[in-house]
Amino acid sequence: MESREWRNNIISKLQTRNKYETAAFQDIISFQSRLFDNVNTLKNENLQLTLLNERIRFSSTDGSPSGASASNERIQAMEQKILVQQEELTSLHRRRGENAQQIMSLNEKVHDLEKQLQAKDVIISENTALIASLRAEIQMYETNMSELQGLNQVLRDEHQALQIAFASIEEKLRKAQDENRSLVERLIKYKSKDADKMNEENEHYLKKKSDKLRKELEEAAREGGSRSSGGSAGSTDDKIMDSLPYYATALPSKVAIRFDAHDGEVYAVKWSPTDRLVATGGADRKVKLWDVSKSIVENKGTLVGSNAGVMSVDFDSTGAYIVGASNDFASRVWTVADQRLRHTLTGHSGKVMAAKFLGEPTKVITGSHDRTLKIWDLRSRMCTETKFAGSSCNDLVTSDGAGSTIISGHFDKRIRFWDIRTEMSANHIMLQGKVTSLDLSRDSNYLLACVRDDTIQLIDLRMNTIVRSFSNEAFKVGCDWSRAAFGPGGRLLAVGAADGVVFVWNTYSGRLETTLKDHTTAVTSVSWHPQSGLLASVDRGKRALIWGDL
Amino acid sequence: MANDREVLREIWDGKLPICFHLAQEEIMEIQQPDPFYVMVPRLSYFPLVIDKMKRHFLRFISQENSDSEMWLDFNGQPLKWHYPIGFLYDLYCGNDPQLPWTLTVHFTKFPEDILLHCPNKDVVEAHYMSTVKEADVLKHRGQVMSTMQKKDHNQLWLGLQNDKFDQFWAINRRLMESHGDNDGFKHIPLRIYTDDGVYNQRLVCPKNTDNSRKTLQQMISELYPEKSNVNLRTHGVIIPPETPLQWLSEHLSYPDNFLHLCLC
Repeated sequence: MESREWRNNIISKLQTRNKYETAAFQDIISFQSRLFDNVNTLKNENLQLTLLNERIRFSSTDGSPSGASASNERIQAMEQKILVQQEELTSLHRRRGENAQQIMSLNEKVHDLEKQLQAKDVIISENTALIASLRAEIQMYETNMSELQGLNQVLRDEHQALQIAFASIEEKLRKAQDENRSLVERLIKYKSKDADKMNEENEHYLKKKSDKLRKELEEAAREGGSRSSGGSAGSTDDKIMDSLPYYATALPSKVAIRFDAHDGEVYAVKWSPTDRLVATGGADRKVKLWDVSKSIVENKGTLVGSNAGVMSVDFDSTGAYIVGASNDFASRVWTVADQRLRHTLTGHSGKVMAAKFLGEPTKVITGSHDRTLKIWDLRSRMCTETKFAGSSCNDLVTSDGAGSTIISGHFDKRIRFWDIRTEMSANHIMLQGKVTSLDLSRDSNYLLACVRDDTIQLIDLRMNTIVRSFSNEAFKVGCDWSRAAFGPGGRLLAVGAADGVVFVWNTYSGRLETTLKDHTTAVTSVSWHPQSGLLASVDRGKRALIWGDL
Repeated sequence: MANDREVLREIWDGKLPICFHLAQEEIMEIQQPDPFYVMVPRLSYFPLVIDKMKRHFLRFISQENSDSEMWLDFNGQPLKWHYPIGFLYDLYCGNDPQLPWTLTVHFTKFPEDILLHCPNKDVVEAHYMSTVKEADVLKHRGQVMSTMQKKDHNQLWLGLQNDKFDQFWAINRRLMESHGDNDGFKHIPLRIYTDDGVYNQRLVCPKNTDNSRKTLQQMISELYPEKSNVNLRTHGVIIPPETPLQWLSEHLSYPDNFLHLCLC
């Protein structure tokens, strides 16, 4: 701050500088720039005026007479033309723009289509490859198929050959079967011939024996004729008896015991095979056991358990069991000794009309109104077999001890024969009316059928034909289950009638031997004692009668 | 504290007359273009003052060159646009003043290896602001510029661009404050140029070791010990050697806060 010489120095220098540089030229240069600007503006104006001049001169050379107004009009027309041209130009530009746009979009489309085409090419190539592989597969399959056809042909040829062989063998079989049948027939014929011969021989022998006996008796009678005085009463009997000497089934003639068996109708009666026990079954649902070993009847016991009337009773071959068929669709087995109910066999859907032991005491066969026969096994307590009979069974019997044949009598007038092993009936016999009861003779050759048309038919089982028919004007079958029975020898048969009379016929001669009148109501069932000639009969009036000599 | 308003005013008002000629080979019209005369501020930069001149010459050049960058040369020497105009004049014509300063305008053959490209005025602003910040770093360790807001920077640039003394110095005053407790700047931002345009920038303290204000003479003897009779010119005047550096920097700096001194 002391000496400001340098400052003043600088200031003066700067001022001179400014004077020199700036001031001198300032005015000139500003002037010059102004001139420049003026020149520029004048030049522009000049340009404009020359243009105008040109235009005017141009227009004036074309239309001289009209003058300024015409030239103005021309100018206007020209201007309009120019406008129109400009508009066209703009529209053409626009169209060009649109076309360019279109071109772009078309390009794009082309691009897309090319891409699609490429994709399609790829697909096509894939498909051709697929086709090639499929063709190869087809080829393989064709070869397979031709192989298989060859095999098939071979198999067919073999089959044919086998068919031919089979046909020839069938032929052979048929021939063999025919031979067999003819041989069997011949065998049967021979056997029957033999049997006839045997019968003849037997008869001869018997005749001889009887002749012999007669001779002896005659001799004896001649010898002891005085002793036979008291036999007059029994002479007719003797005579009758003579006519059948050995068949000590004395014809029962008088009532031995008379007693009331049940509280209602009595439907069934059967002698026990062992002792003098008779079982009766009735509408009061009980089975009663009567002992007639002494001369009077004793009620041995009552077997209960049934829910409805007992239609039939049967003892087994030992006499230990008794089976009762009941209207409550079931049959029951009791032991005779302790009178206890052992089994109840249910399964039928109708009244069980008959129940019989089949050979051994473990099998029972029942026939019922539901048109079936059922075989029951008592060990398993089940129905082992059911046979459809087609019609309600009224009675049935079993032939031979093993029980391989069953014969049943039906509502539809047929008697059907069954083999235990088959389902269908092996054979059947038509009768004239409903079969109410059946009984088989001891030698299983004869079957008697009590028929509702008031006859008894005797059928020979070997020949399957009706041998004899028994009828009588007074004899009318009492009810649908009226039972007839063979006598123990098979010579006699007894049946009860609707009016209470018991008819007894001779099976061999066909003669009505006797009629036993004592019942007041219809007799439902009769039964012969197997050994003695006792006949038991029961009726609808609660009565049971024992005929014969005790 | 740049308090010497008189000096500042004198510096600010410095203007140069320039005559622009279009390069002969670029003239495409039949008619010769008139040379373009203009008064330009010493403190400004070339890209800020050439608009009208460019428009004037544009008519006379071929169409294809109209977009290319224009460049100036003096006597075959391409002029670097990022130096202030006054400084360029001092550098090239300091010893031998010719007024008006005749410059040739070119549009083609831009000398890539010598000149930088200046596509627009924003580049000039960017260069100017960076120079100001550099000076501030030297003076105040960058504290003043960093505390100034963007609008102050803008005001600085606009004041320079529009030749508004008060607008410019309202902000520039702050840059001329002393640094902290010191009486003066930390360092003096200055560049010393030789005739061929190469400059020398050193760290110079405004204070001597004995804490007195350093004068120009002392700095010269420090920097150029072997040279005698060294004169420095700036703003068209030769500075007396006893001028203190601090005062010099405050008042005689160009708008970019640097002292551009030419050796002569």
